Amino acid sequence: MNRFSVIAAWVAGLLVTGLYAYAVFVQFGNLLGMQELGSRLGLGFSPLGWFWLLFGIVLPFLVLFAALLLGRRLRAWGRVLLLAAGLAVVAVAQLDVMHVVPQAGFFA
Amino acid sequence: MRKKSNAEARESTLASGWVVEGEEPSAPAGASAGTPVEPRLDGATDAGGRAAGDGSAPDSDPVAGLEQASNAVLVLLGVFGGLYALYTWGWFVVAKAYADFNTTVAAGSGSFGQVLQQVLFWAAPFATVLWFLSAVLFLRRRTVWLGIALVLGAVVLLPLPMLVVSAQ
Repeated sequence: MNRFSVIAAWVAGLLVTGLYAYAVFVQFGNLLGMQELGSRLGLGFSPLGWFWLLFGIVLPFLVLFAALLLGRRLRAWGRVLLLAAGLAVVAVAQLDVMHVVPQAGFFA
Repeated sequence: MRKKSNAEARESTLASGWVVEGEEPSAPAGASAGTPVEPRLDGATDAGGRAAGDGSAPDSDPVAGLEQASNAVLVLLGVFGGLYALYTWGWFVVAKAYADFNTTVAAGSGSFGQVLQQVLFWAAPFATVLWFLSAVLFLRRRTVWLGIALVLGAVVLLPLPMLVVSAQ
């Protein structure tokens, strides 16, 4: 594998890692937005609400860590593939939670 | 019963790993009765025999890893390949259903944020493809781990929004 390919793989990997950071950022914004909504309604978060909001924030970290751990012996592009797969799993989890967990259940 | 007696055996150009058998000799009785006429996947039937007979170690052959896919691996790939294809279709339906909602939500987060949100959102339908590709590429030689990875993916990537009515 030549030098250019390795550099390109690192750039691609960093871009995908940036998307992980964005996923965390979005979920953090979601937490703040839901908090504001709750305060307008005069409600706080239920334990289950806390769980799902923190789950959204923590999951990208966990998946990124797992992808790096599993890919530590792979070549550069193999690692990029694992990172991309992990990011897609995070996206799937966000859609799942958005669809399945009722919004009213977040508040208590 | 080596096929080398039939000089016209050649590599198929359709797909690597398939061998198109040469013409049967004019006197079938002279040839061994056990030679199949239809093309066969070398790795599935006689990978061991070939490796021993050719005198070439499997590792020295660049395509040996592909040829040596065991029956168990082929079954795993067939079954889970079909299931994952269904999942991919399911996730595309879900993503299309949520696309407008996602665009509305993303509209509030600036032009850069919109692009990021769209990329992240549309990554979901590709999760099954990427998971399957990763599993096959990296765990091809470890049948048990390949099976575990594929079963795990089938659980994690289940297209829940297709199966469960939205709670909203």
